[in-house]
Order: sequence, then structure tokens, then C-alpha cells
Amino acid sequence: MKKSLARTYVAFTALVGLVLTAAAPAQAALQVDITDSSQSAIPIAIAPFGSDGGQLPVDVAQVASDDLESTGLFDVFERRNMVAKPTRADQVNYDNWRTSSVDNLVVGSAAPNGQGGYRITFDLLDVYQGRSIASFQINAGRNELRDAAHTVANLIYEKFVGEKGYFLSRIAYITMAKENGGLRYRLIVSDYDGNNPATVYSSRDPIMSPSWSPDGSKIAYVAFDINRGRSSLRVQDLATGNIREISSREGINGAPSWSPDGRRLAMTLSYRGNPDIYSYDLGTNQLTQLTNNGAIDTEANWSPDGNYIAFTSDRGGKPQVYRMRSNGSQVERLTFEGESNQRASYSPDGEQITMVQKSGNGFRIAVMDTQTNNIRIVSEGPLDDGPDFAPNGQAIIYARQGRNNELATVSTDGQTRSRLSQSGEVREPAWGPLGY
Amino acid sequence: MFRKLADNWRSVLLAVGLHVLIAVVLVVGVNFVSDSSSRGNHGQKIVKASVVNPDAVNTDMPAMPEPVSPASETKPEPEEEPEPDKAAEKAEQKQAQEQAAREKAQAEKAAAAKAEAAREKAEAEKQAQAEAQRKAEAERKAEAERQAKAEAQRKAKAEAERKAKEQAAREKAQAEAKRKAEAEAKAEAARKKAEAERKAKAEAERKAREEAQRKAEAEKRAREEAARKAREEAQRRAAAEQAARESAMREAMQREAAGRTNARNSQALGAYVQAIKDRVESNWLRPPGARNISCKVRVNQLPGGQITGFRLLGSCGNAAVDRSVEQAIRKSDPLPRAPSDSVFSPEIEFNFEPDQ
Repeated sequence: MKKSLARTYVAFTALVGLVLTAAAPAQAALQVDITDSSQSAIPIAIAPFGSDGGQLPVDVAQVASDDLESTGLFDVFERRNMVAKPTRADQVNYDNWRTSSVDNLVVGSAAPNGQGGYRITFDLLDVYQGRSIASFQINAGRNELRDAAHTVANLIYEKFVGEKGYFLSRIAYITMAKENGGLRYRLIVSDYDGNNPATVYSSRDPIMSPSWSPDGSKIAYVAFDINRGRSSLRVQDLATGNIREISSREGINGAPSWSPDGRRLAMTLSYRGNPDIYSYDLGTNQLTQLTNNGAIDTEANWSPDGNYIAFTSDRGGKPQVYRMRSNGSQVERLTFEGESNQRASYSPDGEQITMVQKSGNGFRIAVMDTQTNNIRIVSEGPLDDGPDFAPNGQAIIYARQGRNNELATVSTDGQTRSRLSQSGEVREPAWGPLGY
Repeated sequence: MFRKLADNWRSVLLAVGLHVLIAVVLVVGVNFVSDSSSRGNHGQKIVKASVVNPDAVNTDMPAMPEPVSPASETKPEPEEEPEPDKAAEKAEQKQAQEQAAREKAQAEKAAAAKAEAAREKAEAEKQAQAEAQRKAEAERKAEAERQAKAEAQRKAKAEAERKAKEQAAREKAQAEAKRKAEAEAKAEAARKKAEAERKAKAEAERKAREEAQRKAEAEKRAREEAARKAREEAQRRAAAEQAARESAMREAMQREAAGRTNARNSQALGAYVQAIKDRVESNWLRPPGARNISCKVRVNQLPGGQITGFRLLGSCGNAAVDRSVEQAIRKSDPLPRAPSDSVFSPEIEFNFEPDQ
């Protein structure tokens, strides 16, 4: 009796277990693995900002829209297609925007801040949730509305991309134009989008290789003096215009690159007969030779952590990208694809290196993963040159040469390109720091 | 003689009746002729009555025996005691006989009464006739009477002789009849006995036959019952087996159907999950450059796919990715409808782990 009872109990337990086991999957949540995502740009609309103090001198919404659009990451809803132009969240009819497949909507307004400037407030609305997911307030000086607009774009960008926006950064580049029967070279600094260009240095002789100091206050570049038959590597303070000459030795003084801490400059010097890479301490003026090789070693670029320097060398026969410790040791070749690879530049996070790869398709911009050494091509060629990462690493600026020389940006994944408004021949762009 | 008469009262009675009838016929016949003469005597008292041959009359009518009651009537003893089981029948028969005798006696009594009345009437007429005859033809008649008397004596003598002869013959016939009746009765009794025996035998045979038949029928019934039972049992067993087979087949079919359903469900579930996956992935605008994305999202939904709850189980990497994940889900609202209730789940766990 006891035995059968025990058996019954066991059977019952087993039954319960079975039932529970059978019931368990029904109660468990359905598992769905998301392993891919859309390649589509993020749909967004920025409604014209309202104004309490009359017409704004800058169309903030439009500037911010252009910023986002230029990245290629956003699909900005055109203003002329807007059914309504709300300036506050409580004015928004979400159904209308959903109907237009606008996932995200920005509404805002600017009002005088009592100090001659403006106070700009805006909301980022999630159309599907039908509510504001972020509210912002910006104070801008009288003449800072454009920067305020870039700031709006930066804030939105960061919300969606997860990285700081580069819409307040500046770029430096070299232009070459015919003037008065001769050529005129200029070192230009402008907003990232080409707006507000300013000439930093101008010469009848060639100007080359601009390089931003990490803090964005100075630019190092190379200026030629044809008459003297010399080149001069210099650092110019953008605020003051003061120029500090670093090297004007015999032979090549070129290809400067700032160390991440801004205290040193790597450069290519040939005063000893063969172009090699040197490190120059801006504090002590001490020069250190890093490479000593019969081949040409040039185009040094510091890794963001300061531990490595990538450079171009033809010691293997054709120009290829190499890497060494920042003290010149442990040289290793990084590129093996294509006919040649040169003009290496680290991404801000150090995980990628962009370069110019020459192949059967000409010169194109390539991006290499420093972990895997995998290389992908992100530009079309055939004469692309001078690539440099945006300060947030999400885009690359480069020079396209051909019938129309121009600057272009491309997203790191190569999906989106946009051209910057330029005139004349433009070369060697360099992307400055974020600017905020 | 009286004893004999008493014994044959019926014959006596018949004889008396016959005499009376003859007398009446004679008287009426005479009166019919001398009607007018008797009318001539109307109103005259006729007191003279003559008795013709009173001996003969005495002889003829010695006994108008009083009808005897059936109870005192002596009956012939039955020669043989009937079978005990025939006693009732016999008693009944006897009773019927007594009844018949009683009825007959009554009828005879009535007839006697009637005859008496007729006799009295005839007497009266005869007296009147006799008076007239005496008056009209006294002499002639006296002569005639003498002649007639002699003749009557002779006649009566002849008649008596004839009657005695007849009586003897009658008696002989009666005895013969009685013997015959007795023989017949005996034969009847034997016959009846035989009949009873035959009947009893037949009855017994019938009973035996019936018993045999009953037995046979019972046996037949038993056999049939047994056969029926066997048949029913066989049918029941066959039905049970059939039912078992059908049940087994049904179970197999159900299992197969369940298997099919499971397969279909599994297929449906796969398709359903894929539909959800496709929808969310197409709506997920992953922040460019975002790496090492890994997070789980719990979503509650209604059967129609309407999302009622969203819960991020830890960050996917950064705020922008979190936002993109939530927007991917929100934008997918409503989620694809489950193809069937069996694959629907009110809760879905999304694992965001995109290939790098």
C-alpha cells in the first residue's frame, strides 16, 4: 500500500513535471533574433523654427537639415512637402507625419535671450510613440545663429548616431587658382561644409600638407620658396596668424603630423640624403630620426593613442603602408593589396586607417581595419587623394581630381558621399577637431 | 300386476290415454250424429249414467297413479358402478334424467288433468247422450245394449286378450328394449370408458407430446438463445475489435494529424518568427559605426500584433542604439499577425545581435 502510494506519488510528480515541461514553452516569450538592419537613412523632418523676434537672420532649421542630410545617414523630409509646420510639440498631428513616413520630427523656435542673442528651444519627437523624446535649449550670440544651427544638428545627430556630430568642426585645404597670369596657392580654413572659408596663408609658390593641431588652434603645413629653392615646414596659429618655422633644412621638409598630445610633430626630412621620418619635440626642439632606410619613408601619421606611427615606404618596391612604434621600432607592413597604398591616416578611435590605394581602377580611398587588416574601398576614383577622418570617425573627407576638382565626404562604410561647395582646384583636405 | 304396472307406468298411461281417446272419438262421433235429438232434451235433467263393463273400466283404469315425486321414484340401479372420475358425469346424467322425468311427469300430470277435464266433459255429454239415447231408443237400445253388451263383452274379452297379448309383447319389447338399453348403456359405458381411456391416453400422449414439444422448444429456445448469445458475443467482440481498431486508427490519425499540425505549427512558427524578424530588421536603422551591439528587448503584444509593452533589458551599447532599437519596435507596431493562435505568444523577446 505504501509502495503503491509512493509509486502513485512518483507518477503524479512525473505527470506534473511533464505538464509543466509541456506548458513551459507556451509561456516562454517568443524568441526573435535581430541580426540585420536596414540600410535606409533615418527619416526626419525639421520644421521651420518659430521666432518671437521677427525673421531670423539664419534659417536654423534649414542649416541643421543640410547638416544631417550631408552625412548621408538621414533622409531629411523636404520642407515644401510638409503639410503643417508646427513649432511646438503640442501642435503636432502625429498621424500626418506617420502618413508621410517621417519617423522623427524636430520642432523648435528662437526668441531673444535679453542679451542681444537668442535662446533656441526645440524638441525631438518620436512620431510612432507620439511624444517628445528629448528637449533642448541653446543660447546663441547675435552672430552665432549659424553655429547654433550646427549645434542643433549635432544634438540630433548624437541622439541618433551615438557619436558627437562634426557640424561645428572646420576643415583646412589647399586651393590653387590662376590669378594675374600666375598661380595662387592658398591655405583655407572653413566650416566643415565649406562655408565661411578663410585664407590662412597664400603664396605664388606651392603650399602642401596642412595638419591640424589636436586642439584645432594651429595648423602645420609646408610652404615652398621657389626663389630660395627651399621648403619650409611651419606651424601657424589660426587665432593670431603667427608662424613658427619648424624646419627648412636642405631637401625635403614635409608631411607634418601632430602627436595626439600636440607636443610633437612627425615629419619627413631628407637633409641626410634619404627621406626618413623624424620626430620633432615642439617643447624642446629636439629632432629624433625614427626610420633609417634606403627607401623613401614618408607621410607619417600618429595613432590616437600615440603609440604608433603609420607611414608610407617603398622599401618593398612599391609604396605601401607600414607601421612602427612611435620610437621607430617594430616596423611592420600593413598593406598588401593593390599596386600601392599611401597617405595613411588613423581614425579617431584608432581602429581604422584610411589611405589611397592605387589599383587598376586608379587611385581610390580605402579603409583598413587595424584589427583584421581588412581593406574596403569607399570611393570611386580615379584620382582621389588626401583622405582624412572626420573628428567623430563617421566620415572621411578627400579630394577628387578630374574635370572638376572638389572636396567630398564619404561615410566610413562608403554608403554616402557628398560634395562640398568649392571652386577651383582643391587639394589635401584636413579635418579639424570637433570644435566643441 | 300392479307392480308391473307401476314399473311400466308409462305404458299404462299410454294405454289409458289411448282408451280415453278412443272413447272420446266414439262418443263425439255418436253425438255428432244425434245432435238434434240431444238438443231436444235441452233443459232436461239427465241423471242416469250407466257404467259399461265396470270391470273393464276398473281394469282399464285401476290406476291413475298419483304422479310420484322424483325423490320417491325408484330408479333402476345402475348395473355397474361408473369410474370414479365419471361419477360427476353420471350424476349429471342422472340429474338430467331426473329432470327429464320430472318434466315428463309434470307434462303427464297436465295431460292427465286435461284428460280428466275432457273426460268429465265427455262424461257430461255422454250422460246427456245416454239420456237421449235411453229416452229415444230405450227398447231398441236395450236390445242393442244386450247385443252390444255381449258384443262388448266378446270384444272386451278379445280386446283384453289382444291387450294382454300386446301387453306381453310390449313387455317383451320393453324387456328387450331394457336389455338392449342396458346393453347399450353397458356398451356406452364401455365406450365411454374406452373413450375416457382413449381420451386420457390421448391426453397423456398429447401431454407427453406437448411436454416433448415444450421440451424441444425449450431446448430449441435454449439453443437459439445460446446461438444468439454467441452471435451477440461475437458481434460484440467484433464490434469491440472494430472499435479498438478504429480507435487505434483514429489515434494514429490523430497522432499523425498532431504531427502534421506540429509540423505545420513549427513551420507556421518559423514563418511567423521570420515575418517579425523581417519587419523589425527592415525598421531598424542601426546607428552607423555602432559596434558590439547586444541587447534583449521584451515586447508584449495583443493577438492583432498591437504592441502594449516595451522593455529594454539593459543597454544595447549606447543611448543611440537603444533609441534605434526602441524605434524599430515602435515602428513595427502592429507586428505581423500570428497565422494561428497556436503560434501566437503575448510576449516576444528580441535579441539584437547584429553581425558586425
